[in-house]
Amino acid sequence: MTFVFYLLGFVAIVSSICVVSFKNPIHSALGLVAALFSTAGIYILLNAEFIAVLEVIIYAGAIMVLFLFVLMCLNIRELKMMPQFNILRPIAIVVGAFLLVYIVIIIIQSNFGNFTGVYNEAKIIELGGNAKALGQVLYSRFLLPFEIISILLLVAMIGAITLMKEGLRGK
Amino acid sequence: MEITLTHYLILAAVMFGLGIIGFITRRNMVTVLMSVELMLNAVNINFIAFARHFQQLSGQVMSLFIITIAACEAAVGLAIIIVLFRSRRSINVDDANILKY
Repeated sequence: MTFVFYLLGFVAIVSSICVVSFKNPIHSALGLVAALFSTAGIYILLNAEFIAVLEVIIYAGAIMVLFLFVLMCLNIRELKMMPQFNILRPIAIVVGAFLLVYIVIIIIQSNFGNFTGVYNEAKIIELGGNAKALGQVLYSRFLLPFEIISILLLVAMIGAITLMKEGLRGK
Repeated sequence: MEITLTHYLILAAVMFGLGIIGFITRRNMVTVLMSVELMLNAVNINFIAFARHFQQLSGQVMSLFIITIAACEAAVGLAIIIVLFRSRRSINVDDANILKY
């Protein structure tokens, strides 16, 4: 268990560094796919199998294909020519590192308490697995946010289509 | 050594910090969006780690919502990038400065 966590965490961090530092955007996209897969493994370690499957299907499947499709539509030779990094790069790295150290210090010093809810592992097995328990919570307690998020998806779809149409009319 | 909540939180913090660095330093708009996805992913790890620690399912439901938001954001953001590329022939963030004047 410990070894698996360190392996997945190492892969996740190294591929995140690849996303941030590779010059070719397609290589960064592939690094992001690796990061997403190792994150899905971490979700499985945390007993969230359903979210892990969704992560692979939606993130690594749908969203990354969308990214690669857009990169394919844009002119890849021009993309390689353009400068990839800001002049602010050293300052940004220092600021990011400071923020990171600050967050880590806060995490180490804080005491999260041990409040225990009802959904322990025995209860989830009794309910019939992670997906079933999650579905019951989603359709009872979180019903209204769930409906709102579906409307948000519709709005995003309409927004994307409208943006593309406006661009075509301008031509 | 047992893996505790702190380990997961530190992993998420490192990924979030890398996302911030990428968000600030990259000039290519598509990679900027990828850094945002990285940060959302780190937040997801936090939510699920806390859900496990407190033995609740609300954190997992929240991460489901975050994945949905990320999908919306990617769709709209990539549409904006393509429209911008049509009008300016560039996806450099420094070229999208018309609102400055």
